[in-house]
Amino acid sequence: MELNKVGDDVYEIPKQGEMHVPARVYASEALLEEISGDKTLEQVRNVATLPGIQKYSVVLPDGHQGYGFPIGGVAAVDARDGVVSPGGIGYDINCGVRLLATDLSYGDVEGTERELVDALYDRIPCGLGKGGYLSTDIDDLEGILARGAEYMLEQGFAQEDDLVRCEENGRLPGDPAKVPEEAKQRGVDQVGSLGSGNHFLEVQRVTDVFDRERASAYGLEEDQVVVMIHSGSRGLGHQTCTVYLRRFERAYPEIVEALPDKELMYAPIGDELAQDYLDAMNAAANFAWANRQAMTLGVRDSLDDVYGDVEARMVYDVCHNIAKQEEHDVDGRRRQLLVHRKGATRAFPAGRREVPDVYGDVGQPVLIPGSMGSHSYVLAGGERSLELSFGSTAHGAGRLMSRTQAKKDYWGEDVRDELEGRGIYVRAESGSTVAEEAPGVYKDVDEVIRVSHDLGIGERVARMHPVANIKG
Amino acid sequence: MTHEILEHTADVKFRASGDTLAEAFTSTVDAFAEITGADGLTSTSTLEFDVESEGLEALVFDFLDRMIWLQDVEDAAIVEAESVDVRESDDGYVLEAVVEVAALDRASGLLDLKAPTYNDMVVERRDGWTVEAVMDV
Repeated sequence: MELNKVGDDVYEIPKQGEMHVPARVYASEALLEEISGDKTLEQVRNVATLPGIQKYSVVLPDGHQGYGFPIGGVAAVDARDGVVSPGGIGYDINCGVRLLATDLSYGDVEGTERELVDALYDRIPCGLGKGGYLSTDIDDLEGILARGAEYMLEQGFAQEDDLVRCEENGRLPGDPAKVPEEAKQRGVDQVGSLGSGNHFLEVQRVTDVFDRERASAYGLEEDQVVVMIHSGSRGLGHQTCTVYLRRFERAYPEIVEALPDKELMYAPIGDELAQDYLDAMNAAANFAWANRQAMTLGVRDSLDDVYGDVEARMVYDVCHNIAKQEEHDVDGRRRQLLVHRKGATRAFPAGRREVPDVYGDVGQPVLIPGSMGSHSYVLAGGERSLELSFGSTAHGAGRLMSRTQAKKDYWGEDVRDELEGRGIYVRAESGSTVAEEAPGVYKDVDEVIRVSHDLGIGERVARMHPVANIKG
Repeated sequence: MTHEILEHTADVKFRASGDTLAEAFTSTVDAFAEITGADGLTSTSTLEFDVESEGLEALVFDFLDRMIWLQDVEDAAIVEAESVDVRESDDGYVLEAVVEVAALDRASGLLDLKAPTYNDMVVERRDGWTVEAVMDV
């Protein structure tokens, strides 16, 4: 496959064959070597064949093979004449990351990590099984699907500032009627639950501030204790995606037949089925925000239990699996686009109207989780993100090692002990989960961040190191 | 009937085989239970369900989807198959299954599967039947 270097950390597959646009890869040589080791390049080339796609299909520095679309991928299509593809969003609709800043410093927490991790673990359900931090019924679910974080505020489970400092203020125009009943049945009792896999809730210490002006605007300082939540729309979102994939498959057999990969299946945006999916996707996104909000309540209650009256205020909440209606410049013209981000984070710079006023001068925060035991980052939306990547950057480091191999190479208890020796306390539903998420199984997030910063799409603000972590 | 958990970097993949299509789907249940970690549990009841799909790959997809859904909705872990029957219909295939389940206990630390995928899916007849599929974790 032809791949040309067109700039520092910028590569391009030229438009050829059935591609409507070129495919762009933002990566260093070292990351490109990893990206080239699986089907990522083939997938980003396939994405460039989607009807209505604009400028180029994109792979970000953390790109790796996904289902149809690469993870760490962006595809922007014309909002009227393009197509929507559930695979370009992912099964976990609005999987995302939230960061809370506390008024605790590391000195307040040091020595109490075990008590803290136990308090969080005992409150917030993880792994397979029913129950969430909040008990919700079908009426609550309908409210959540329609109004997301706004519903949580109405019910007394959120503060105003939680919505102000949340992407889309925690609500998209969702239609509960378009969410399949099977999805509602899965989700009705999952509000305030973490899930499994690479989802986590982590107490962190801010160890480095790279940009003092932006860190101050975000309310971050060295030695501060913050809490990061990585989770999504749980069974409701996964089932919504699954049901619509099958509906698309049955409705458009000729499209599916012609695709190089079934998971690329799509529907023309103007079709009723496409609109139904988008309404359902928005509703599932609202569920994810309510889920992270419920866990936020659990975090606040846990901190109060252990330390007394602690403030844990919202820094920001970002989606990294979603499709958004956005305005972007294409060939000098403002166009309305549907931007698919799959394992990709919106990274809007200062001045963009979607950025909350409180961050209007510095750009939106971008939250990049590290793997268990390694550091995470806060970036700011970069000036060049709009030009290079439809206002997007990476979402985290991808896996290097399979779960089966990780369980052979790592023993959960050893990993836990080693992390505890470094001052990082982990509680998980099972030792195999700890082994599967051991630090060595993920790529180097520092290099992903370096490329993002140097390209100007997401610029370093602060780095955090884990203190306590709970996992499903 | 055999099953094997295969290598997959990000999620989970399995291969299930049997002399007949029904046996391959029975092995699929065994693979499913091993992946979630439920294969060592003692079952306490059974669940019956059926799946109708337009083709074999869709049947695998819908079968895995139904098991994932049942675990969440019934709050039960699938331990093994009691019986699986697969037959052709006018519109494709019909699968009827009875699975043995154990009540879910969060302390069991079972893996929460998100969804089935069509990624790398194989349904082929060669010295019996083989099914391979990837599920999103």
